[in-house]
Amino acid sequence: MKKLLALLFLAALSVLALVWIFPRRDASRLWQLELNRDGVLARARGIAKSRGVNVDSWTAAVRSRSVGWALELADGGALDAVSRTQALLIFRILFRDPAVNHRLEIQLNAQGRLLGWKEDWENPPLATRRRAEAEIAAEAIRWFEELAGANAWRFRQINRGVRQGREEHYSWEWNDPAVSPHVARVEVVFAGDRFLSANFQVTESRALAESRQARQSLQIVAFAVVIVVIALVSFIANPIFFRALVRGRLRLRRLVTCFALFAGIWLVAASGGSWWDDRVFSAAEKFTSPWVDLVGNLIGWVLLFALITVMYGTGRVLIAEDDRLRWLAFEKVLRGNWWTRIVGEELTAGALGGTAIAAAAIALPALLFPGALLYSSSSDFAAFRLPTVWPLREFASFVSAGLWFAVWPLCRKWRWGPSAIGMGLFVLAGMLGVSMIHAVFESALLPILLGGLIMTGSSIAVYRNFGLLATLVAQLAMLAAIDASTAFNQPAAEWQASAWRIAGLGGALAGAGLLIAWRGRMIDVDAELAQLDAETVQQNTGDRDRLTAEFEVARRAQQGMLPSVPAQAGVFDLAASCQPAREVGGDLYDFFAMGDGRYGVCVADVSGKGVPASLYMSLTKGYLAAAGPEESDLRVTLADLNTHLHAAGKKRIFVTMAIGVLDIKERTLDLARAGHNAILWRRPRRSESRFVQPKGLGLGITTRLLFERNLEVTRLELEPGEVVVLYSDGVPEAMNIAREQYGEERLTAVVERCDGLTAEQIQAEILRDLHHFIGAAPPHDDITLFVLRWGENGNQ
Amino acid sequence: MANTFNVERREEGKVIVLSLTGYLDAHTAPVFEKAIQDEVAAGRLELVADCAQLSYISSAGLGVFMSFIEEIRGGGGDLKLAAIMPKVYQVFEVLGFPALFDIVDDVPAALKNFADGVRPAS
Repeated sequence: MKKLLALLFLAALSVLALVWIFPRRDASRLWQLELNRDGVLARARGIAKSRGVNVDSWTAAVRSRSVGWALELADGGALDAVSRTQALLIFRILFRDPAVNHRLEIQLNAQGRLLGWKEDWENPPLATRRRAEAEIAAEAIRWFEELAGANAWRFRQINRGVRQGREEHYSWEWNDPAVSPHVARVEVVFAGDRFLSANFQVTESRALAESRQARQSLQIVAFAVVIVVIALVSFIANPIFFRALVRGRLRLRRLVTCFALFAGIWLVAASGGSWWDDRVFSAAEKFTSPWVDLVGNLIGWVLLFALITVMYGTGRVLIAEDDRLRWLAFEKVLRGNWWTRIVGEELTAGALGGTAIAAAAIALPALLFPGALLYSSSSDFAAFRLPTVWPLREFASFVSAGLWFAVWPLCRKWRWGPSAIGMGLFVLAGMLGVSMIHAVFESALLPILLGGLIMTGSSIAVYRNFGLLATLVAQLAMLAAIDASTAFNQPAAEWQASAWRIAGLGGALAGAGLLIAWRGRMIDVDAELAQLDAETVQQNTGDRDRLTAEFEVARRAQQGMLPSVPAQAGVFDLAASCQPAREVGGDLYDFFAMGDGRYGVCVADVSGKGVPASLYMSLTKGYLAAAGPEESDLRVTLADLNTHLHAAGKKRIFVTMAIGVLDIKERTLDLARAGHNAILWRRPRRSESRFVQPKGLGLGITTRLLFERNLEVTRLELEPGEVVVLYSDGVPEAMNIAREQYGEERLTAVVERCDGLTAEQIQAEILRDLHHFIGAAPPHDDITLFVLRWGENGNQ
Repeated sequence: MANTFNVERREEGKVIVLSLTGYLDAHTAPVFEKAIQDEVAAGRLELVADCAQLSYISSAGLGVFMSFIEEIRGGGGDLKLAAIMPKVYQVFEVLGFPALFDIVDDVPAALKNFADGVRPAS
């Protein structure tokens, strides 16, 4: 809880930091988007229509890109008259007619100004020459003036209908070394009478291009390193995964769910993004249908999700014992039990942590490198259908999900150095991965590496403090924070609205997490971890069925080991039962004849759950069976049992026991209580109910000497009608849905209600009341009862 | 919030006081285990577990106490328990811990017992 509050505080600070820094420093402030996708499409359609091309029924696709070199100059305040005319962000709008043999591409800048027009046919109609040269030239000039705008007077015409193949080119240039090293150019192309294309472009100077070339090769190196790391990890992971799969150590259902989860998230991100537009664009190149391109692209994505699933499986099989807890929340999500507190906690931690990480990754470089260009977002979001889902793109990425699943478990498994080398590789890949996504500018290399380091390092901190699910959500939140800030940087109202929506969704995610953390189900961590382990135990499907069957056999065997308790022993009637919470339990009851009218009765409880506990139960049972009937002194029996368990146990397992020797002739019960619940003694004739709690340590905890010294045996002088109930802590600690405990009071009340009934009936009534109380809540612990009663004459 | 657990360490002269907060169960036991392990490894065997903020303990948590006590006492030290909440004390009591461990009302009393050399009879 404290950690979450700290995160909440950090996240709030982060939001403030982002709000302050982003508008002042991030490169996205330079785009000044006045349009979003809808606006851009409307503008482009209008332009097309005004030129006589009606594209209303045509397929439309929109992409955007930013012009790196111009952005860099703009951020550094180094724009000159020429470079200032270059658009920083360019929208490309592609229209394709339904017969898919005619395409039109229009280019606009961020404010909607026309930058280019390009028309193309699959089978271009024959060029005709019916119009006069002068008329065509005049049309060219009109295009030039539109594109060059106010700077038209600075251009010089350098081509007047120059023939290039079937085309005639008219070009103007603004090339003035005194003003700028860069060159602006307008090019208008005709094919005979027909106007083909016009575009405005600024070419960067050679010097600038060369310096960028050098830096781009750095980017390629970064890219290569990341690819190598990814390939290496995949190469190592695949054999592990498939070997585990073949041996049945992975549940197919989980793998499928994992695959579906990422595929589903990607689908949402893709539908809101430009994925389909990309298909339309690349299909238009070849005048083919986008559906063709889709199949190939889709296969690539399916392979990606398969690879992510392989990484998940690998990590799952390899996770170290103390890491299992960190995977628990993610596993709960895969199993569909997301309404649990740990899931809520990790969701909130991820949402808040991601925001904080994003802010730190931007703020620290901004502070430490005051002049540096911060370039935090790629610009393709400008063309997205639904920018709100834009942050999801990273969630289903290999670099985010895939590496987080497998790298940490792999490192720990092989302990390269103290796993430092492995983690070092991971951090390096993370740093470079972040820098690779963005263009690497000379002035921005260090800040970007620092940002990448912060992102990766902090994500590791989130993983270690909260868990895997939190880390994955943090990646998402990081992007959401940056994306929202980027959108806020744009003047258009639509972008502001998008920004609020993204921020709102992020807040909703954190809020949902808090709600689930507060009201969600608490889980039994021991049981969950045991189940996690059990799932990776080596078994094929055939074996799994066999294992289930064997568990059933074990259960029946264990039930069979429980003695049959006679309904009567002398004047006493007896009843005992044991209901394990899991297939095999850690409770037992026992009953054995000691000769001479004396009987041993006991209820015992092994600490722990499941198979390990039941094995200790068997050990205890075995010992009791051997020594119980022989040894007349209860103290000796218990001391011996303690010695054996103390030696056998790993000091953490102990057994509690309530044991008595019933003498049916003397009508006495000698009771000893080794760390167990008190024994209930109902005395109807005295209208009294007592809890008998003789001193005694749990078995297996300490040495014989100490144990014996602290052991008391109490003798109960029984009277007719009296009832003694031995029970395990599963009875008073049984919980209902409201997480209330059954408690000793309710037990006492039931037993008091049953004055005059037989032990069998009393037991049935206790169980009925208990189960009625528990209701639909899952069983928490084994429930064991041993009831003995001195039946009065004349009663049933 | 469930399953939150915290160990805060402070020094009172030679004695190390470990303040336990929250739930001590299978999930959180390793945290406590590590804390004690660190002290034992460094040879600091005079330890007090301040349980004033300990709201729940399960068998796994009890196991942590049990697994170190012999080693600590063998080295001439002790692990004393202080300020246990009544609800939690019940769990200790049923198991018979008061006979095994020096359980006191507060940390100063534990420190005093260390100073006076008071230990449970073993």
